[in-house]
Amino acid sequence: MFNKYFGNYILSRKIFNIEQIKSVLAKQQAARPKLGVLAIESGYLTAFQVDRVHRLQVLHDKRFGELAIAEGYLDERQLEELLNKQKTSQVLLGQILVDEGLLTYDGYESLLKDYKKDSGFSDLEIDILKRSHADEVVNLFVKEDGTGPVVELFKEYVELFIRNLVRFIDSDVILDWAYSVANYESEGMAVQEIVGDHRIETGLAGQDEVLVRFASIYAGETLSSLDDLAKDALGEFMNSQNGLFVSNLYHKNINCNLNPQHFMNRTNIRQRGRLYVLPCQLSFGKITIIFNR
Amino acid sequence: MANILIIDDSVMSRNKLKKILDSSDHTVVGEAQDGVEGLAKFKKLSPDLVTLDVTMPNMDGLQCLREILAEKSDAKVVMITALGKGDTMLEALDAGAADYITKPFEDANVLGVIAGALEQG
Repeated sequence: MFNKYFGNYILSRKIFNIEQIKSVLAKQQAARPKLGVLAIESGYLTAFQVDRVHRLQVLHDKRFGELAIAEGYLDERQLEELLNKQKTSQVLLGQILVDEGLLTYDGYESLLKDYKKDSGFSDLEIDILKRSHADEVVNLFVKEDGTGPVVELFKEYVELFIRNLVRFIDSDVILDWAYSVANYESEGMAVQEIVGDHRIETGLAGQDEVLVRFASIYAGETLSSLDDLAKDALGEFMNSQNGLFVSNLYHKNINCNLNPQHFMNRTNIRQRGRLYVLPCQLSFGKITIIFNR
Repeated sequence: MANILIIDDSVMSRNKLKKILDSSDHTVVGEAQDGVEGLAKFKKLSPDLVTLDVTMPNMDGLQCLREILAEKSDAKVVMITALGKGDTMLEALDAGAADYITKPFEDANVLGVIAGALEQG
């Protein structure tokens, strides 16, 4: 995850031209250890099974992990473990920049210092980004109100949301800083209310084209506009996210339920106790998570 | 091989379920988007099995389940829900649901649960 944040910083500083950046990103992608290799190293798959999954990938437009599960070679837990290993095994962007001759070691050190200063991250926080643990990363970006019960609940919600984004929508999630506001205006938002021991209004907002892409991925269908099916798919994503969240609360003896989800055009949400807003950058655009408790 | 009625307010979920069921030996004989419409279609179509979403407007899944079982006490109903928490599902099973599937669902799980529900006496 550090690579994504640091990569974005480099882009924003316009230190390199776009061709150089593309070349570095391609090399970084190629340097990622293959899931098949990690699966063999972990003893989960044999070379024969990895080869079979690769051949199936030629026939079906599916990811390695999906096919390995469908073939009964991996279970969900093992896949998650391998994906985590893959993320943490990523070659650091800095190494490629140096290898490519785009930066000297001195230049990299200096750029990293600038990044820490401009981003406000401490060495410890940079380490957290490098380790990419969702719960710790969420703590970095949700600093509002310290440790009150509502902010803790919000952190739990975001942590689950990020996992679901990565699982179902896009593995390239970059969190922005969370903030609280008195009211939040949006062109369009999928909304669902959690009721019971907690009463929380939750939402997924974004520009139309981003929401359409999001909905297409989740529905597994090609959608071209924010029509009823797209709105329905966004609502279903929220329903699944909130269903899991409510289930987690239930295991802590907190009893909540869900009202039916719906889509609101041109809406203005007013704060109840605390209205949190968390923008997230996906590979195809920005979405915003809304949490109003 | 069974005739199945899908009751779910989400068109995306209905499409996904239909795709999964169409890829098997089962036949989707009807679809409904809420409990009221679902109950009417149940009476009209007499399906072998119903998949029934829990969270729906108008008449929710639990109420619809009770109405279906009042109509036909041995009806086979599989609940579909995003709520994996215990009490809602216990309530549904206590009321007479054959089994339940949590969203987001996967093909193998859906077909496995439906096969198990159809085998119940």
